[in-house]
Amino acid sequence: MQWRRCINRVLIGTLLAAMGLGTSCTTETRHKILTVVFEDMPPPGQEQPSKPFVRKPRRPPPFKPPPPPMIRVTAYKPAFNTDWKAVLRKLPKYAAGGIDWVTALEAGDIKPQPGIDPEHAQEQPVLPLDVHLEPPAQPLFKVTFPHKPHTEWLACANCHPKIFHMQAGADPISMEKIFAGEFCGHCHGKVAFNVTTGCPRCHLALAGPQ
Amino acid sequence: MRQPAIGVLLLLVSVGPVLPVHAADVLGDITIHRKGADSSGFMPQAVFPHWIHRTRFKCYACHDELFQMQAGADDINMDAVREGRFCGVCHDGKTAFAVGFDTCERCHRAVNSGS
Repeated sequence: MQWRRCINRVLIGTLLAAMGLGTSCTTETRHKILTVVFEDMPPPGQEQPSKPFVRKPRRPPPFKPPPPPMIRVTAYKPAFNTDWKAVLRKLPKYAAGGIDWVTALEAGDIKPQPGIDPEHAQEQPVLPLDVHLEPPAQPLFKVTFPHKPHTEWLACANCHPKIFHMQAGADPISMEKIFAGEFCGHCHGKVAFNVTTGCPRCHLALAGPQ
Repeated sequence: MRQPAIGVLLLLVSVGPVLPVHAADVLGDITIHRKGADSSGFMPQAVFPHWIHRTRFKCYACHDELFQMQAGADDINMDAVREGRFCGVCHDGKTAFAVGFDTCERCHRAVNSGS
């Protein structure tokens, strides 16, 4: 009968403590004491707990490696017209055939960039200088070389001083050498207009009075 | 009498799409001649269309920094292009179409012109 009496005493003690908590303590003290056991008990004067009580995890969560970065493969979509046959059809031509690049540039049909990187590309200066070259005793074959249309496409260093000296008349230019690919022949006949465009294109006097 | 005519027609219809279709021969097209022995002939030589590039870039965008102004002066090969030299400076899939097995015939065309 000893253990039953012991249980009785513990029960009575607990009851008395509960009664004491219920009657004698202030609500704040009671809250303090009770939250030791009932952690999510709302403070006095509040119906619901202010926020859900979250226990700290007993061990750190397992390490999850971050997903690999997503590689977005974008299809190449040019911002310019790639219907080259239509582009070629629209470009201005000489009467004898071949693209008139100077007119195309002046008319704004094309806007060629000065460099591959559009941000760091530098426009080269355009030089409005006409150089008159006259073969000795042949005034009819005088050539007027306009720097302007050339410098709209080319930089000074493309021709000077490798192909042409910087001094008018310093180079022994002849049609024979041009046809052999020297001087003007470096470009004319290869990428720029050729002889079919007509002699007066360079030998202005051969065109006769305008 | 009708049989051979139908045969010829069928032959034309079947062969027609296989024939190489290429851009017109324009002044300035440069064939990049293959150096060294090449007996296979399975891949046509590359043709550089100057005029397409001139619509977008001035001469000094490429000359003489990337290319010398003399056809054949530069040792252009596919390894160099894939490394980002010569044509590979632009043909990387950003500025212009990328070099790849789906774009071989854009440059390696069966046309021999301009050079």
